[in-house]
Amino acid sequence: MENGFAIEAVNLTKYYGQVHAVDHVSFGVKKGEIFGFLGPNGAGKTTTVSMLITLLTPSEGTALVNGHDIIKDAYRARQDIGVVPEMSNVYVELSAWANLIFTGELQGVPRRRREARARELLEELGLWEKRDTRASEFSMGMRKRLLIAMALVHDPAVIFLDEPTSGLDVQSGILVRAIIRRLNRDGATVFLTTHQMEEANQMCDRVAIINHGRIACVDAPENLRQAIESVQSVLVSFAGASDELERELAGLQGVLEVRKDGDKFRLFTDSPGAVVPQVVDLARAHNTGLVSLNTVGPSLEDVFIKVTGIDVRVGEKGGRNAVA
Amino acid sequence: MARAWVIARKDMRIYYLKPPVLIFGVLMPVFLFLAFMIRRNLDASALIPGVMAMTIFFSSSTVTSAAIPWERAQRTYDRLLTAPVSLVAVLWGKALAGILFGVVVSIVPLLVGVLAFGMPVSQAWLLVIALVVSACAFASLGVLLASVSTPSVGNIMMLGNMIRLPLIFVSGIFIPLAELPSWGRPIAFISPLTYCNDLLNHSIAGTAYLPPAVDVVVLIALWAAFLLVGTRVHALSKKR
Repeated sequence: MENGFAIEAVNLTKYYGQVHAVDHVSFGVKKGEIFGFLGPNGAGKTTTVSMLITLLTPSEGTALVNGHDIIKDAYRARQDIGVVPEMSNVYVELSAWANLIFTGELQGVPRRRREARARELLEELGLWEKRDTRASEFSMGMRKRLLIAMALVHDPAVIFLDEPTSGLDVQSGILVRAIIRRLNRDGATVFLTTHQMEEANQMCDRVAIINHGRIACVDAPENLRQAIESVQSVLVSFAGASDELERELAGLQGVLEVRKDGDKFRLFTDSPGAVVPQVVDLARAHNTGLVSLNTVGPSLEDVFIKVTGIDVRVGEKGGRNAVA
Repeated sequence: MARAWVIARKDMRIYYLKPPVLIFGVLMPVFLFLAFMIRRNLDASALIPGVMAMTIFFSSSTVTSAAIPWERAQRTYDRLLTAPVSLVAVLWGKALAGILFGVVVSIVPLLVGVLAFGMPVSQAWLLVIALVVSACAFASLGVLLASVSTPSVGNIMMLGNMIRLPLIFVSGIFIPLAELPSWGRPIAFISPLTYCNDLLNHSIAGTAYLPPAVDVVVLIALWAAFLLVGTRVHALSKKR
């Protein structure tokens, strides 16, 4: 790639009648990075990805995928992409082996290469023993692994993954994340659409947040978090917490909001340094111990809330309004 | 063409034994055949061409028109559309599966006619042409039917039968073209089945209403037209 971009969207636009589902979106995904694409439901994520993988024709603008124009050179662009959709689209009537071989044939992979690659992928993803089993008998995690194998059979340069760990058990989720990291280490560019902020935070080199069909921000997760440094919090867990103690937490000086996160309380504040001693004093006054006490910077979820103006926590006890 | 064949082979493995394909592609022609022959004292040469025409009409168009919405519902259609394969090749692959199914299924009544009733075949080479061009035209009709953007196989089958059943009744199968009233003949010429039935009459009984070249040309033209319009409509739904 001359400009170092594996994906370059230029004024990518999609109208549905009067509705701008995607409104002149421009961004670049560097070659070899894991790029997170975040946004609330209906923000334009799926439409953008559908255009990038040539499933939908843009109303205006275009994009280059691995240097190939998705409108003028869709055939070459498709040769270089692998797609792992959120909803399984394996052929459930066929075995894992038949699914992989069919995909290899469809991608034009020569026979010996596709058979060797199919075996390699099935072994790597722990499906070799089940190669002759129909996909209809697979669990959700196994189908997801098969989907990943099918997306990789032709060694694509750019891989699109839509909610790759959604609905998976912990073990399968860890395995899928490890596979994504390995793919990226091997040189593939990964375009990851996810609702899971922590996943994006852990995995992505950069993220873009799309809202109302427009890109609200694009940067590294850490840079985005620092950009809203004002949203900090103190995370505290007491050995025994009464309702009264919880009420008093909300009254501490400098505390903007109290949120109960499992067995912990998260106190949102502009000045964590001033809040910490008050929490210690409060624990003493209630004659209870502190299990843990930490100051926490803004999370990617906080960034998401600020950028999209949507507070998903509204309605919870002590919930706050949007920070935007 | 190679990728179209890959898609066709996959469709043969998956869709040939699906209930809607068996019901509308195999059972429907059998029922029509029974309705056609019971209490009618027809010889095999008069009976079999019509039965074969109905069989190839239903079976070829059913496989194609069922497989596409099925793939839409399973989201596997997206897999085909994001592969380095042209839309024409995808749809031609779907049509190929319908063509082969139609030809194979329509050979069954032919074998019954030849082996059980000693029916002679006047021109075998013309019979082969008739089966192939008819199957191509009808499978392409299936592509056109499936261009209605729905993931529901039932909706497409309903639409298909709404179109196919009237086309059978005006096609000259039940009343030969020569016996139709003068106002009925132009209506018969609207039905693609008319040309298939006429061509099969030529190849089996040796006589028919239209010259065989006319039947062949019309069927080839319909094949191209159905595929072209079907591809256009499928491409339009991608732009939406």
